[in-house]
Amino acid sequence: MPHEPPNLDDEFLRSSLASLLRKGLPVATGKADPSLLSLRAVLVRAVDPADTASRVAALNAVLRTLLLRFDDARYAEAVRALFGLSPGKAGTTLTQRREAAAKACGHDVDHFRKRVEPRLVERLAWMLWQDSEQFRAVPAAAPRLTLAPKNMPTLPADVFAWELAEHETQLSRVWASLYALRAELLTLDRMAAMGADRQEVIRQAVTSAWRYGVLRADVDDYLDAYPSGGFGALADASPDDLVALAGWTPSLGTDAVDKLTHAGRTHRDRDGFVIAMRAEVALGNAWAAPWLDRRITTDKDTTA
Amino acid sequence: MTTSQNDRLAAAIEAAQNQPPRRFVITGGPSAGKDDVIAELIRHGIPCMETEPGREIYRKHRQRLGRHLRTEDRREYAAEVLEAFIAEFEGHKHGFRFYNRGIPDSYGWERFFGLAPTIQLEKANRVYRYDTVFVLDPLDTFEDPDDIVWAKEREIRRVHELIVQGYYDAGYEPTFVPAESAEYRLDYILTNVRIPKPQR
Repeated sequence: MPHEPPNLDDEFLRSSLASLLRKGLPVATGKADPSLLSLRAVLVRAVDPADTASRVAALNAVLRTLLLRFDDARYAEAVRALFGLSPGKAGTTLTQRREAAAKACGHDVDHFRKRVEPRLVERLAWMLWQDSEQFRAVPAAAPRLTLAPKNMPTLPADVFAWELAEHETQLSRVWASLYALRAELLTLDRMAAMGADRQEVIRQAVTSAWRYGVLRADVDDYLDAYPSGGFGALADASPDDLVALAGWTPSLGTDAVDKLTHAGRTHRDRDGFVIAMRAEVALGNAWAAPWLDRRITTDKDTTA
Repeated sequence: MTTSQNDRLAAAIEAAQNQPPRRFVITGGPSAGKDDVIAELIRHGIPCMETEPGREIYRKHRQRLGRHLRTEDRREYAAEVLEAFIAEFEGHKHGFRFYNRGIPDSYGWERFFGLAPTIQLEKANRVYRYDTVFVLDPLDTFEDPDDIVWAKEREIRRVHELIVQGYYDAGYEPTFVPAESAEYRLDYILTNVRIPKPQR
């Protein structure tokens, strides 16, 4: 198992599932615990996450799937009977379902109710928690890298696999551009702080602007391909937030950002970018000014 | 013994040719081992759809666009895949046949990209119904470093769950096939649909 089971004694999942036992499956619209309907495992699977009925349908599917894959073979049939999933058990009373469940695992009903049933509900709650973890939103973080395998890996001939590989490719491009900008911004900060030659600072500022444009273009391309609401790892991040991960940059208007992005997309090389942006003197000044100002301040501090 | 068991399988296939069609879907996320199960079906001469039509259509669209499919391209791609699945479905008139994915896989595909199902998909799902759906449980490759090279296991699992959800949305009650060898899985599937198992 990828994670250790949490202590579910106080978790709402167990009590929510226990309350579902009264009526069994399927859960009716209006009867579902709002907490269960807010699980990411449910939201991600719902056709329309804003619609309660759609979320209830997704919750029913999640629970059915988990019950069909219940990971304790001895009690699998019992837990399915208990929740009303076994043939002929849907719509029956809890007493009837409990009797069937006790029979399926060879226990006396009383013993089953007191000793076995709570453990089955707890186990199902743990499975539900694990399933939800798979869909948990993760903060933007660079993909973890591992050593390449000794043998050449085989990508399955499968469109979903191809799409996942394509996503990894685009994600890697975004992070490559992001770290490239970060490196240039760090260099620029250091040069300004050290009071480097003005022309050298301007040159480094232009390099940073080029990397900024390329990153903006890569982020836009990524979000075009994997918009919000989809599965993309960065789908819920805004372009501004992603760019801000690289480091501090001057606040620019939409028009200026668009120009840098366009130049970054059409000119992946620095020389081409410089030629494309040559006429944008005001933009160039606005971009470089904070570091040049910082350099002057540092100069004065040093002189004093 | 081997001969008689395989004779029973051959006889079942032949006898089914005079009966109404029965259609069984085999599906699952990437790395579920679907191709291995399909290869087993083919090896034993059991009627099945060898290649998933989406693959060739996907290649064609990428070639035409000269780039990766974006949101605006995916509808067109999905429509063409749906057409191919419908043609496959309608083309089968007698006996049993296994399908390498089915029409409801498109629900998972659409959800994968945050799209709502199209009217055409909803309609096709109502008209073209499969008899049984088998979902191959993902092979546990969490410890396999090869997997991490091309996609994180977390995303593979997400895709798998969205495909399963798609079948529930489409009104199916899938049968889950445990993560075992391809031979075991084939036997498990055949037992479920009451077709004689091959002797090995």
